[in-house]
Amino acid sequence: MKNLKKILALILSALMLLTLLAGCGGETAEDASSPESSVASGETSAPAAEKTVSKIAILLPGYITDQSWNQGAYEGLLELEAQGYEIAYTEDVQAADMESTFRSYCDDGYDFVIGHGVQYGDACVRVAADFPDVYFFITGNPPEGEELPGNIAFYDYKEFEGAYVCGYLAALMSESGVIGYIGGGDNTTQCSDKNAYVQGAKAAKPEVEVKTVITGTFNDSSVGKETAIAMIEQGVDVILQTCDETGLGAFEACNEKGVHCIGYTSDQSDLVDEGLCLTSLLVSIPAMITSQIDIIAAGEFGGLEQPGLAEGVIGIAPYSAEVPAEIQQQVETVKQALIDGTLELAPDYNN
Amino acid sequence: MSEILSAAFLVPLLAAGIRMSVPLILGSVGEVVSEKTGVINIGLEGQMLTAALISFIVAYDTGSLTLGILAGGVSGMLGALLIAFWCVSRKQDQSVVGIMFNIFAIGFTNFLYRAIFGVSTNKAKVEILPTIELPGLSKIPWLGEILFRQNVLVYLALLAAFLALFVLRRTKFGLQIEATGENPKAAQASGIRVRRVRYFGNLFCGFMAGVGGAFLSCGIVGTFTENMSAGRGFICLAVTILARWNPAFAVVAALLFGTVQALQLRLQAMGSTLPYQFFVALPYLVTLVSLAVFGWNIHAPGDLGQPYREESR
Repeated sequence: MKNLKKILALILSALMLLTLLAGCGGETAEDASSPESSVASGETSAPAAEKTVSKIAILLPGYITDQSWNQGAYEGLLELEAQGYEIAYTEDVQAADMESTFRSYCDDGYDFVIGHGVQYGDACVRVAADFPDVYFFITGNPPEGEELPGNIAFYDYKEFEGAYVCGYLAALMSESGVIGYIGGGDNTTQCSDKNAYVQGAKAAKPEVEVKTVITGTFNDSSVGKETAIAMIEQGVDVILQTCDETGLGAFEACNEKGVHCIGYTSDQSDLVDEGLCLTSLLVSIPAMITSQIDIIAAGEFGGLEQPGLAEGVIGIAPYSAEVPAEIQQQVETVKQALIDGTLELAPDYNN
Repeated sequence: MSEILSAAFLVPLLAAGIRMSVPLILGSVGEVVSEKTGVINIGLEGQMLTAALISFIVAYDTGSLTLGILAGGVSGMLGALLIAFWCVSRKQDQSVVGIMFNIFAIGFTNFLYRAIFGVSTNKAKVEILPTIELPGLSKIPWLGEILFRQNVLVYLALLAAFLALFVLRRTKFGLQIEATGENPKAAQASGIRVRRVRYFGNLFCGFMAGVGGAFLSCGIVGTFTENMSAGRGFICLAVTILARWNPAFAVVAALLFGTVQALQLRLQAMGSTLPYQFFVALPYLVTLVSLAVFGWNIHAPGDLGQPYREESR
């Protein structure tokens, strides 16, 4: 009886092993066929493209429902999926998992891997040399003092230009002379946003006071709400938030107290009552990602790009009806000066 | 400095401190009862997160916040039931089961939220709990604004803490809970049904954690954001130890954490040369320091964390 059980167990485990092998076999077969299909589709739509990618993966710092930074990337990815690319994404990739996540995508045959945020730079540089055939893309500036492999592109978009314009607008709109900024962390993008916002506000009205809080979290909406309430208590009457889900809480507080706010990455005016959201600091994240495909096809991939307001990667959403035409005019002038290059800004990464 | 000591600063600070500590009060009072019966509910964080979502879904669909909060409590209880089944009936390691539940909860809530609401730019929202001004009491200068202009869950949290204290200290059932956690064999010898008491403790904790989660989504933000419990469940575990398994102290310890959290946001906004990390770490630092200061000579329930085996000798 005992022997029978042992034999049965052996047979069962052998069967399991077989199914495992069969599973792997299936996948390799699929892999082999996928380049063919992409070539086939390439022939019909874009015949000239020599270098193409077929499988695109992205590492996200947060969740794709944050109405902001991560959702923008997800939308870009969906656009690419609609064009026939195979896509994959991993959410909430924190420091400890960055390198391994990069590696596992490369091992799985993804040939265009994106780290969505400046914090992925270091891990990407470590991985890129081992996978010379894979294209890497970081939506942020490169890590300092390291030699950068040629298969990584960095996109140091000048988000701070938009923050400067928002600061200018906030200062002009403020009745109390006190405005606020809520950030999520201290990476270079966030720091330069904060400093440019202060700089823009002071340029509009030198006597304006700017209160800044870094919450240290991008996904704690109730802390975001309490931060905004604390600011409003201290007299703040216009708030810019650049902290994704934490920012959604800040918007809730502004809505409750009837205080003006400025959105981040997408036009967030629907999140609060009519008119309260003065404008939004737009970062066209989908375009950032989709445009890279053409760059790869043209063979110009790699290095560092620094697009800003002038290139349309950073933008200012339509103003709310509560912004008087006169102020709109003044803000547009500043924006135009940044676009024309008559006003030059240097990013200030100081915390 | 003089700004900080003015009523205009302190009154809203303390009111915000209470708001921020409500989920902690609810969770840690539940945890105190659960640990008194001998079961550590590490899944508290996951129960809070699940309940934040379930209560939001129910409130959104039915339009009733009361139903939503109740559903949150029940969903927390279901989570606790799962944990109690593995830890009490199947005698598995309580930490392992709890941690697994927390990881499960993050994935589960993200999945469920997207399955129902999709990934759209139009965020679903509910009206948050209204502020209730207690007649008469809310007119007391300062104190009225701090204590008596809050939403209903704030009052219920304090009431629940008082009830838990009363039951633990003044009733026969409280004694049975205490005995179960201290020495389950002796408890069983005296006729207490150990497993039943432990199930009760865990389910009560799940319900409280659930209401705490509902407070976040239906009481403060009016929507669900992913991973919105953001570690509050773990803070509850620390608060429970700091409070020496006493519901009244749990209220005090939770208030301490919440108030320091509210304070650090205000200090940051006032402008300072200190790095922001110092402020963000401040509530945790204060909790650690108070554990070191008040943590001597504490007595945990004797059988805490041990599965109970009736048949063993």
